[in-house]
Amino acid sequence: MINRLNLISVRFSIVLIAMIISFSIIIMSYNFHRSTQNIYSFLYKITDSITDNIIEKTNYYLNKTNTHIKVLANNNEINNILYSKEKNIELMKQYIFSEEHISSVYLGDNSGNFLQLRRNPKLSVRSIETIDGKRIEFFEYKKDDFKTYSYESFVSKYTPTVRHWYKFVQKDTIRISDPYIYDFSKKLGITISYPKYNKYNEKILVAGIDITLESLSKFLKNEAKKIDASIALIDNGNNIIASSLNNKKFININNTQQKNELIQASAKYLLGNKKGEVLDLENEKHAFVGKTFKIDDTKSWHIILTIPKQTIIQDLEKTLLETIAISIIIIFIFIFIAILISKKLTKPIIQISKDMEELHQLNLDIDVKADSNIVEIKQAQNSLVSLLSGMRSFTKYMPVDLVRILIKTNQEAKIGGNEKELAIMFTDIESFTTISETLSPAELTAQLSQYFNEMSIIITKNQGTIDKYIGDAIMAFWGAPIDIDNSVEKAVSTAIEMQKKLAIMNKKWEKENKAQFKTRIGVHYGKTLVGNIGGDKRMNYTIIGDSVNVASRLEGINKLYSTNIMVSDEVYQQINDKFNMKYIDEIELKGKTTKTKIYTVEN
Amino acid sequence: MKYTNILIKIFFLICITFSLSYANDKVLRIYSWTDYIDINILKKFVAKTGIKIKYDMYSSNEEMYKNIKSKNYDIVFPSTDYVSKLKKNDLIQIIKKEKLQNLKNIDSQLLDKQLYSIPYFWGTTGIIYNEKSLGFKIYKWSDLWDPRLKNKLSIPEDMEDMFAIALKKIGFSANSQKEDEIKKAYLELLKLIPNIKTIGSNIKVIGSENLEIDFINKHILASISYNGDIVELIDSNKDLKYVYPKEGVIKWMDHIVVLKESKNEKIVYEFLDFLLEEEIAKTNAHTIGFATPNLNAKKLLDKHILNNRVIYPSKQNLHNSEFQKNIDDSYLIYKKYWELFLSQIKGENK
Repeated sequence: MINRLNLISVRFSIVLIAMIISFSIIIMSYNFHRSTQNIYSFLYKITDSITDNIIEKTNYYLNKTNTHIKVLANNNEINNILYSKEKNIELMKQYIFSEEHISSVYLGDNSGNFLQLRRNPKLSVRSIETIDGKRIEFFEYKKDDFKTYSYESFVSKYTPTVRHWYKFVQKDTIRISDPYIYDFSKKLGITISYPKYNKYNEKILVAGIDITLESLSKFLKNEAKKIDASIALIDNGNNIIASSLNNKKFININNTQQKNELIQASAKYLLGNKKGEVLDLENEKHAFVGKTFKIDDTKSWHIILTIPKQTIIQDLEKTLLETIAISIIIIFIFIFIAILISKKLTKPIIQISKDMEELHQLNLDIDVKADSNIVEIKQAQNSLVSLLSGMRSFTKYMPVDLVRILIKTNQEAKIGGNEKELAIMFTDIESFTTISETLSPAELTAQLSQYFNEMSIIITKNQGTIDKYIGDAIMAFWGAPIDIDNSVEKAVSTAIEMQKKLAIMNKKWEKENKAQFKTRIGVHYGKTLVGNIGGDKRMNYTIIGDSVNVASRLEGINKLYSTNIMVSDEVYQQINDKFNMKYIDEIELKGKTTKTKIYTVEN
Repeated sequence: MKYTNILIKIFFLICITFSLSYANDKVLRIYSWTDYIDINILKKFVAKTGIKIKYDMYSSNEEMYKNIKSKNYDIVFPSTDYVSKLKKNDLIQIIKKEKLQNLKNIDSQLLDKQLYSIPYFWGTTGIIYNEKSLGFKIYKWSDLWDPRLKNKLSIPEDMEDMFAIALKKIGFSANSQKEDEIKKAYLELLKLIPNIKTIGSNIKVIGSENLEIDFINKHILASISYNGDIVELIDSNKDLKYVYPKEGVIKWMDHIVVLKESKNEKIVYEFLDFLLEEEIAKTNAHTIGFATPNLNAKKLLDKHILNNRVIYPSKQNLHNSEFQKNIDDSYLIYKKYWELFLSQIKGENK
């Protein structure tokens, strides 16, 4: 019962701890999952803002350049751009010196003339015209103060009118080229061009401006640095046109041998994966996201952003460790509380169960306290206290040993008996009627109960079973329900002890001016029927038979011989070597056909 | 056999292609004074021959002399004295007359017997000044020392020119080889320092490096200049006058020479003969503004140019004038005093 309770409480703790751990794990996993999602959404936001910025930057370039280019195209009144050469160069100078990303400004007309101010490879004015039927190219190399320090002239292979920027530009429309690598600077850029038409709707000249995309790369580099990422800008031809990596070469995603994370991510993105993971050259994992945006009606560019997984996970791992630490602390606190609670719960329960066990054994000398703070347990304790006091009263009216035996042998009291040889004792107070008349009922009850109490204690102590009290008489026997050795000896020594005790009591009573009790005791040993006699509802464990009468008679015979303990011959035969016995007479006892010898025991 | 034939043909084709492209890739490298050749003439030459031209520019003979050693120029345009210097240092080659059909156009009196150089332009070093603002007339070199010109004079950064002027002022030959005379000239130059505002393109105190703007802003009121450089300036600003000083103006001549290191003989002669063509020379003279030694070209020039005394001075203008010659023997003496002079100017500038 106690172990079981402990088992239950231990299991309870295990369940509680398991629940807490599971709960923590669930929370941690959820937390991790959510954090990862948050990182992705963070990356998306960054990509969004970068994209917006790029669009803004691109638009900024384009808008400013758009104005320039229109002014330049309309700067020429006739269709020979070289006619107003100085005026044109003056404008070109303004543009190129005010905008760092403008690498070249130029004009081409329908007769093949070309005029350009360029930054690369050296600051120079380049013109192409037809002289004596030959296309002649002419360079004026300029110092920073725009003074010429060298000229160069050769036969030109360049025909502006067949170039895309000239050929494909349409009336009143600004044309934006695909990005490409400039011949001299090897920088990546785009060309913006705008035409001028005459009144016959003929294209007479086109102005063009080359814009390097270097500043976009610079911008991406800056943004990438902030979050430890890599970013690429990819055009509709799948070319990386700006990137945070130091790639000087023009890379086409489809035709490159390079396999860095950004290129891989771009390739995956272009295959339709909006986000995912790639490995870099060192086999490190990188997460990527991408976004596509329109730069004009026909062109879309893509932004790809990769970030080392380690960078994302670092923070997550930190959070995870923190969560684990907190969870462990919480678990310990919970375990502590659980133990405390279960102790508080089980301790009184165990005590109750122990007390119950004592009750079961009819050990009523126990101290039950109703001291628990828990209502239910307190109720149980209260009930136990009531039960205990009830049982204490009850046992006074019942044969405790008998019941104990029944309990021990796990039997229920049943009607019926069996024949057994027992030692039987009968006691009686001499002249009780006379004594009773001299005392008040209260005095009598008090003194008598004192007497019964002491006598009963002695009988019980000596393993005797008190059958019943009959008036001032006590009927007891030895050898049932428990078989005992030396039952006769025990009965006789009990009688002696009783007499001795009574003498002491009498002395005490004498001092108190109380009545003197003189008890006669008869002891016999013989066959009797012992068992539960009576009805089903109410029965007595008692003895019946001649032997009982013999014992009673022996007690009465004391009167005749002025003895106080009288035993039969059957008793004498068993114990004469142990006690100081004295032969009294040989008489015919009532209920017996033969004469029997009687003896007294000298104290 | 068939294959061998084809292979040989392919080989020849490759050779031809290479030689053609090699010819096309040939570059004629010209080193000349700033804007001293009409660029349209250069373009015409490219159109005619397909030869690529590179034309770098210098602003003094000294600069030219310093740079030809490190760069692979074919032809250079030094003044007379530097022709001698280049010749003496074996840096130029004799020009083959027979390869130049148009050499006949040049005034034969000006040609050397041993043809190391061909005259390109000649001119005078005189005085241009703003008479109205200055408040007095300049007739002679010594007028430049007038204190009323204090901090209003521009001079060229040219040793020979400046010594020639100082020598002329005190009555010696512009090409003096005598150290005592050169020293006296040096002392005269020192006296000129207070009046000097700009020297060459270097500004002594403040002002623009552009003569025209300096004159308009009146940062300077007088300048020692080469006639061709100021023809347009005189035309556009009536306050400005060009003066042939009484002591005698300094005459100079620039020549075309072929550097010894030049490996492009064919295209060099092609270009030289082209430059000597009377039509081309005329156009060039017209654009650049100096007097041409190409007699046949001169005949083609507009009368208003021929009558422009700034370009083509009268005999009277050239009274006492002297052509600058090679000062080679006394170069180091000149150099010594020139350096002293420059350090004095810089010292004063501090």
